[in-house]
Parts: sequence; structure tokens; C-alpha cells
Amino acid sequence: VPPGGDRGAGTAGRPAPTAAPASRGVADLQQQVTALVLGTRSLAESVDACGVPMPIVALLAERARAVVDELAWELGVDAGAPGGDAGPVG
Amino acid sequence: VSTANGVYEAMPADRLRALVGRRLRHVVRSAYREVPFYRWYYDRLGFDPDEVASVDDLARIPTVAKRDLLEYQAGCPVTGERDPSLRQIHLTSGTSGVGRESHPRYAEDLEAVGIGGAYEFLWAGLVPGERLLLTIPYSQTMAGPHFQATCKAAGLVPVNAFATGTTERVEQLYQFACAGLSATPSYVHALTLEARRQGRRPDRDLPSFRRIFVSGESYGTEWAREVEAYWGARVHEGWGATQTLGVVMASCELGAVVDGPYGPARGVLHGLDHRCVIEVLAADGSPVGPGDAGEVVVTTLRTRGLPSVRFRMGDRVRRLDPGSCRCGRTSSCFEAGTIGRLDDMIKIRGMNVWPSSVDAAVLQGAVVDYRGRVFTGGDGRERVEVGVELADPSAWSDEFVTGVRDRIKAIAGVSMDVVQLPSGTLREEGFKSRRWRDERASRR
Repeated sequence: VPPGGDRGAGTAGRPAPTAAPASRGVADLQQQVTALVLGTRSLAESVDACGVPMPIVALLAERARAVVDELAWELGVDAGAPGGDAGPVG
Repeated sequence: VSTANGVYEAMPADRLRALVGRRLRHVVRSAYREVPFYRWYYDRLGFDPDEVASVDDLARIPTVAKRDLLEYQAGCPVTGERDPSLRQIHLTSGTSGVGRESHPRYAEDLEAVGIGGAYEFLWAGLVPGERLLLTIPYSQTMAGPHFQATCKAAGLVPVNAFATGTTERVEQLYQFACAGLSATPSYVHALTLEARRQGRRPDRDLPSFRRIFVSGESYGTEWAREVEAYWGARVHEGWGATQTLGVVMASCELGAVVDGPYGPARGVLHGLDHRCVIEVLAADGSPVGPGDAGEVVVTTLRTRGLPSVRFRMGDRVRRLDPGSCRCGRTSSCFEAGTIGRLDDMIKIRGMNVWPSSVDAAVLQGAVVDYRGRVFTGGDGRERVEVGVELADPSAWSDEFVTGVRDRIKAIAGVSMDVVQLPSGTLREEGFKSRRWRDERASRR
């Protein structure tokens, strides 16, 4: 069973995605990744503000934030470019 | 059924619509706020991004054409801006005669660029750790970074064969026990001829090989079935562009060609609706109904550097009923294998070539007219022949041929053979006859 719901029978006799609500497991993941989104954004800001020049770390933090934003989006959490809302959809 | 992401593949339509609506509203506002092109464009048209509250307001947003972006970038080139967030610049393929768009990419874009293609590969049944042969060149276009990122996103191992020849590529398929390859239909044809020449029987002696991913050109169902039979592999298709930040339509596990009541039939491309809003519009700007074809207009939801907001692609696609694929997915659906151009652009060796650019290179001096032909040579490679008629046939010389070939290469970006046509040939065909014919073998 894929995350996000069960699959019912399609009209052509093949498995079809159903309109099942997100499972508890997905909701938990969405909460976890929402915290990650906020955490990586905060991290990037802290690196910028810490006063020690460390561009390598800043760029890694930037990439980490970008990866987490993408992870969040694919998990159904509306986080993305800066300014996007962080929180499960629907 | 191969699932790439059960969250979206099982998401109810109303939830997805709400998500896309929220994202759309954000994209339009942030584009106006952060992207100089959209501020310039919307101000010029008097459009207020605050008018957009949901997907229902999509049609209120002005469409953008390539010429709009080029007009802006002619005065404000991406390379002229000092932007510490800039990480890559991707040029659209094309010719200097028509213009190449510059797409700035930020860190977010580089993490997003491969995701769509990963859906294509995972839906096709490839699994992490398998090898995929890549043939599309790595240059300043998005293609190279895109395919690398797609393999990374899907957990696949890229076999970077773009710098080798066709003979070596066939050998690499065996050396790395590849599960699939990615190429244009024309190049798949060339590779097939080479593999046959080598006496290979991949359907028997390369059991790892199961999938062929085509993109960039239309192709025939008969041709696809022949390729599948020879390779023992299913043909799949993905569609995307620089403007869409990679793949936004892809065939599922059923492939791009399916069994129809009278033989092979066109399969389905599924829209990645959570990543890109894909509209299909008639010439008057209204949405076409299921079964009808129109222009692809895209709005990207995951692009930051230069989002496409109702960008008119100039590509023509046939829209199908959502959920019309036998796989059961409820996404937007489009016909596989037939995406072409609304204008007369021709894709040659992966490059966008507009006949107008060849016109500019050839129609000079004593040239009466010309005819262009794209075809498959005896070696399986794409060849382009330009037949030229001169007012005075005796003026034909090696120097003239070299001059025309060099101008074509410089302006159109693709090498072409130049041959002389007998005097009077073209005048008899009529002035307005189409100058170009596409006779490539993969069109069958």
C-alpha cells in the first residue's frame, strides 16, 4: 500500500488510485517535514548572521534548504520558494 | 502499477486543485515581486497579480510568448545582472536568428529540475541502482543538467555516453548492463541500425535492458513497435522543456504505444499536475475540449529563478479526458508521440531550427529558392540536405557551396549538405510551397 492511501479497483479491472484521505503515516511525515522546512530556513539565516565567514557552510545550508523544500512539496506540504507557506495542504 | 509518489497519485482532485490554487497565487505574486521580467511585463499590460485568488482565475493572467521574454532579455540580459542567488544559466536550444532565452536557475531550481523525469523513470519500472544510458549532449542548454539530475532523483546510475560515438554507445549498453536509454527517436533509430550492424540481439543477450525513453520529437507507432521488438524493451516518453524546468508529462508503466483494436495505438502522457499547470488552448485562447489539439501553455509551480506563468510553448498537443489511461491514474492526460510545433520549427539533432533562419542563410544573391529535407541516412544518422537553385546554374562552385554551408551553420547552428537543383525545378513547384520535408525513419 503506497503512502497516501489504498488503491481500489479501476473500471478497466486494473488498480486505480482512490480518493482516500492521507493516511496517519503521511500526516505524521508532513508534520516532521514542516519542522525540517522551518529548521533549514532558520539554519540558513543563522549561518548568514553568525559573523564568521564560511561560504562553504552557507552554500551547503542553502542546498539543504532547497532539498527540504522539494521534499516538503512532494510530500504535499506547501513549502517551496521563500515566502511559501509551511503547512500541510487540505 | 509502478508508483512514484503515492501522495499525489492518490490525492483527491479537490485537494490537488486547492494545493495548485494556493501555489499558483503564490507563484504569480512572487514572480511579480522578485522577477524583473514579470514586473516589466505585467506593468506594461496593467495586470495586477492580486487578481489571482485560485485556479479559477487562471485565465485572467496574461499569457507570455517567447518573443516577450526575448524582447525583455535583449535589453536586460541575465548575464548583465549581479545576482548572488544565481547558480546556473540555461539557454533554450535554437538559433541566433530567432533568439535563445536565458533561464537563470537558483538553488531551489537545481533540486527541482530532476524530479519530473524521476516520475517518468520510476513509473516505467526502473529501480534505484540500475543504469541508464544518456545520449543528449551536455552543454549550456538545460538538457545535460536535467538528465543528470533526473538520474539522481530516481536513484539511477547515469552512463554518460554523450561524448562517445554510436559504436561505443552500443558497447556501453552491454558493458554497464543498462536497464534503459534516453534519446531522441531519430537517435534511437541510428543506435538500432548500429546494434544490428554489430550483430547484437538485445532481446536475447541483454536481459537487463527493458526501457527506451524518447523525447524531443514525434514518432510513429509502427516504428516504435519495431524498435520494441528488436530491443525487447518498451518505449516510454517524457515531455518537458527549459521553460518547464524538466519533464512535466510522462508515460506510465503502460508505455507510449499501446495495443489498440486495430494494432498499435498512441499511449498517454500523464501531466504532473502538482508541479505544472498545463493548459491546451485554441487559437482564440479558449481551452480545447478532450480529444482536440491546441497549444501547450504552462505555468510552473516549482521554478524560482524564472518561473513560466502561462507561457505559450508553441507546441501542439492533443488533450485527452483526465483518467483516460488504463492505468487508472486520474491526472490530466495527453496523447503520446504526436507533440509537434504550431509553427514550422524542426528539431534536428536535438536543436531547434526555424526554417526562417535557413532562409536568411541561403536566400541571397543568385539563389532563386531552395528546398530542405531532413532524412535518415544509410548509417541511421539524421541528415539534412538543402537543394539550391540558382538563376544562373553556371555560377555553382565549391566556393559558393562552402559559403552557403558556413552561413547555415553560423545562423541555424546545424550542419547541412548543400546540393544543386536543376534549373526550373522550384519555379514549377510554386512560390508558396512548403520548403521543408521531414522524412526521418522514426516518423513511420
